[in-house]
Amino acid sequence: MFDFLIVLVILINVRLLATGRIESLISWTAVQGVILGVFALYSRQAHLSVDVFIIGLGALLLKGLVFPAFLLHTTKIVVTSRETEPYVGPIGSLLIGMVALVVSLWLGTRLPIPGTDTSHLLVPGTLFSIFTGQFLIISRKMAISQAVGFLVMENGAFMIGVGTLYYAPFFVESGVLLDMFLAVLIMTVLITDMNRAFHHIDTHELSRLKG
Amino acid sequence: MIRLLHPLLALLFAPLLQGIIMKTQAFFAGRQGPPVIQPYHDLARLFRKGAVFSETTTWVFRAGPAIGLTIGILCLIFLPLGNMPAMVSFHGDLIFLIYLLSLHRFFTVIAAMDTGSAFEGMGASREMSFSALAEPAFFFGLATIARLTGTLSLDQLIHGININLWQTHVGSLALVVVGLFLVFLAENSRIPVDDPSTHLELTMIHEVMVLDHSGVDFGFIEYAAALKLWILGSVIVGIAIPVRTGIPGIDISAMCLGLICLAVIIGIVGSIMARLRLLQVPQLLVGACIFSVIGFLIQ
Repeated sequence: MFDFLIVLVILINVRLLATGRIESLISWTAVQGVILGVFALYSRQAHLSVDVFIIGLGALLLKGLVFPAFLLHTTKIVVTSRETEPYVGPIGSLLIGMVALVVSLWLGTRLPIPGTDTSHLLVPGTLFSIFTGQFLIISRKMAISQAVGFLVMENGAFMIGVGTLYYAPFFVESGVLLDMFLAVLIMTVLITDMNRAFHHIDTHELSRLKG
Repeated sequence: MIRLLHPLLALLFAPLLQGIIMKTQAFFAGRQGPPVIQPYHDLARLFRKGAVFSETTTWVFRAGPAIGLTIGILCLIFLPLGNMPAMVSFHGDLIFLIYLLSLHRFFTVIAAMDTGSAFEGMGASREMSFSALAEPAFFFGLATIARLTGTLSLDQLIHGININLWQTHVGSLALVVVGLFLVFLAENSRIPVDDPSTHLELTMIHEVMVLDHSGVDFGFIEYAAALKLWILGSVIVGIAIPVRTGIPGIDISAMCLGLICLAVIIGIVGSIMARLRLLQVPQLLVGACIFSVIGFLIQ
């Protein structure tokens, strides 16, 4: 089951690299969020308590519903649906993604997690998610795609967190989720303001300050 | 004797799979459709006809269909069906089979180009472009299974797939099956890659290459296409259905049922999906490659 969920996360990352449609990016990130929520609940089922359950369910709702809803709402406001000219096209992104997956799998063999009986795909899956997020931020021009990249990167960090720690203090985990919530909120507000001021959200054209 | 069974089954029932696909599509379209044995009637009709050859063609054009059919029959010799062994098996026959299929494509393409028609040349160009993407996916898919079972012989490779292997490597095997299924659709000119029922559209791939063939030659091409459907289908079914009881009746029935289900799935996919734009086909095949490569990497 662990392997299956991690493979799903990896496949969604590949899908994110291949798509240029912003709605599709957000939808698949939502699916990834739901999978990670299930992953969080499943990985701690042996130590399931009220606070662990709340964190798992909270992650599922925030990553799977709330963040995507914010981003979709922003997409409608700024009337942008497609990444028209990314720095790297879909096929190029996929090929780079494959190289990153190979590197992640190799690093996964070099970075074993001591004292745990977790899946051997956890570290590669995490590294690949972080890479995918970073690559989306670097290779896409639209600010919303970059916000999605940030979410995917955080999903990777979340996965290794819940996959290796059976228990973390409630306030730490809820604090991280709250940080994420605020980050996404600020990003959506910034994107909306950017669109209002410049009539676009293409970060490539933001190289000079406007008087 | 049992080693002869699979080639005989394939030679007899390969056109039936096409009939099942047509029947399924007719069912989804709300029509009664042709009978499932319609491909046999079509083949019989074509074999009764004489062939017409353009004056611009050479022996390459005439030899293409016969060589294609011969290669199709040759492939059956090396192909097991689940627990049913192949007629001939040797270390590395897996790679030999892939090359035989490539040879089949080569002769179809060269026969199409021999006509001198720009239209057929276009189809040939598309066929080779897409096969350049489909072949790595097929290679990686079989390489994954070869790595899991520790053999390069197709016979032992398919024989080595069982429920235990599926339980321990479900992720890899599922990805390989999906990747091979996409290749299967592309190689057999099925929707969403191509539509075998169209004959005069600019987006078609395989059908455009065989437009100038007629009569017996076209019958050979149709029969070879049915065999190719069976060949690739039996590889997928052999991987996807891990029934290896050792009782021939059950094993053979499971595989035949699997092939029928595969034909129904193709019919359903053809009914509920539109054909992809030509520019999107490479993306689908790259996707198939990625499924196979990830399956290979994560085991």
